[in-house]
Amino acid sequence: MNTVSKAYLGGSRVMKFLKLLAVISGPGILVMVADNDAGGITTYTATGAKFGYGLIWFLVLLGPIAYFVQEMTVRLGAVTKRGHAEAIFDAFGSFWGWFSFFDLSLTNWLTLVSEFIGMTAGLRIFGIPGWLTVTIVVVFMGAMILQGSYWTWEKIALVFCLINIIYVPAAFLVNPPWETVIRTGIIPHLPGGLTGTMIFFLMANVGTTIAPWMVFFQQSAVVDKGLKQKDILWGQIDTAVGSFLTVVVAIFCVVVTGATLPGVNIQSAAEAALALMPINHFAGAMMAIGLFDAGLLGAICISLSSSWAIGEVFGWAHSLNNKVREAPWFYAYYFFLLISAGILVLIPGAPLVTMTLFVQVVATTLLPAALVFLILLLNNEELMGKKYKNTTLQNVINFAIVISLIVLSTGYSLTTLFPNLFGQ
Amino acid sequence: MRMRDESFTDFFQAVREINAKYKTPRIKMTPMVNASLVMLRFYLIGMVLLLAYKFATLVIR
Repeated sequence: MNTVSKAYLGGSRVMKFLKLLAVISGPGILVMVADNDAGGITTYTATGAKFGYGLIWFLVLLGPIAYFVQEMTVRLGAVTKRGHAEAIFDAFGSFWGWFSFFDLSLTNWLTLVSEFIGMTAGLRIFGIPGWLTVTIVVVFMGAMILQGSYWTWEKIALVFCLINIIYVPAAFLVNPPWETVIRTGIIPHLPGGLTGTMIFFLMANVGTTIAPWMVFFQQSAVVDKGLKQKDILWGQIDTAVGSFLTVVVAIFCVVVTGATLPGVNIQSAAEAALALMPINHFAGAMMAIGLFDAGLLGAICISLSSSWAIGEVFGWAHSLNNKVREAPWFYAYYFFLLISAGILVLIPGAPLVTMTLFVQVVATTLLPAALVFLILLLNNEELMGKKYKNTTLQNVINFAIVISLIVLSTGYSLTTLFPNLFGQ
Repeated sequence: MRMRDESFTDFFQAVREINAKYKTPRIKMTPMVNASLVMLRFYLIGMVLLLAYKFATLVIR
């Protein structure tokens, strides 16, 4: 049962609704919740500690931005039945195809390293050594894809999306002044004015909203799931629910550190969890579990996004429905990425901090290309047909979003290279 | 060693086939598409130059 339409057969209304819910929830929710990966959680906890609840309104704005970009991948995937890597090769030729492929591979691998850093740091709080975390993650993620069904893989991944909501009860545990949260959080303002630090944090939050892997992942997932043109509406609902969840998690993350660690300079989410332990042990533990889960979700999606891309480009079998003997290179590449990133994190003295900073800069070289190609493809009537190409309104919104994303992500990347660019 | 040579040959053959398959971009080169691709090239050149500058300053220090 691959499509929504097939699920809508027989049974009572409640059963129909539940079946539909089970079928539609997938790539959109996964990609959006996984967007709150280890790096994202670190950004939110740092934002909450630095500015309290003052930037919650800004996080709310990021939800629709993520939705509008990712929704385009649903239409493109469902109509063309091609992943983003293959679509770029086909439409723009081998130069842009190879550029996108190699840049995606490098960015994804570096991001995967940062996810392992987050996962090992999260579980180290509970006394679990890094090597054990890496081993467990590699074995678990390996088992997840080797079971031979996209459907099962997706549903297991969705369970980890549910765990990501752990920041909601964590926020209630620290008992924040809800009236103040709502009052200061909803009204748009910039606490302390438009300082260099504020600009940096705004750019960092935007930088975590859309990453290149998200575009490639969702389009490939839509194809692997077998969504058809008639399922596009459900894919859009799935993406909308996902963008709502990602904002909810981000807001509650900010509330936790805004309430408990005001004015503290947070360098990592693990540091925030540790600092929270003496204040509220359970909330601190939840932060650590959430960090591990965020890293795991990121790793699940990012490694798969790279494997799908290499399969698309080289024309190898690349579906999670394939057995290992049917798609050996797809699975081999997946394990190569996973194991190499995991091992690197365990090497004493490896330049991990430099790598995590470098990942943002490399991602910024790919993000504009991925987004511009997305819009150009969505405007191609020959490819999309009149019905599914971008409307004028969609173009106005998407152009505004893409230009803003490019400017702010580039600014964030430049700040990483030249820290005093916007002053302090 | 021979097997390794063969797999490398296969790999480069695959790359050549991909290059041949996607030699001509399929998208219609409208002014918007052309302008976007030119801007992307300039953007990338700018980013690479900045990265090179940063690397050079780090090495000199």
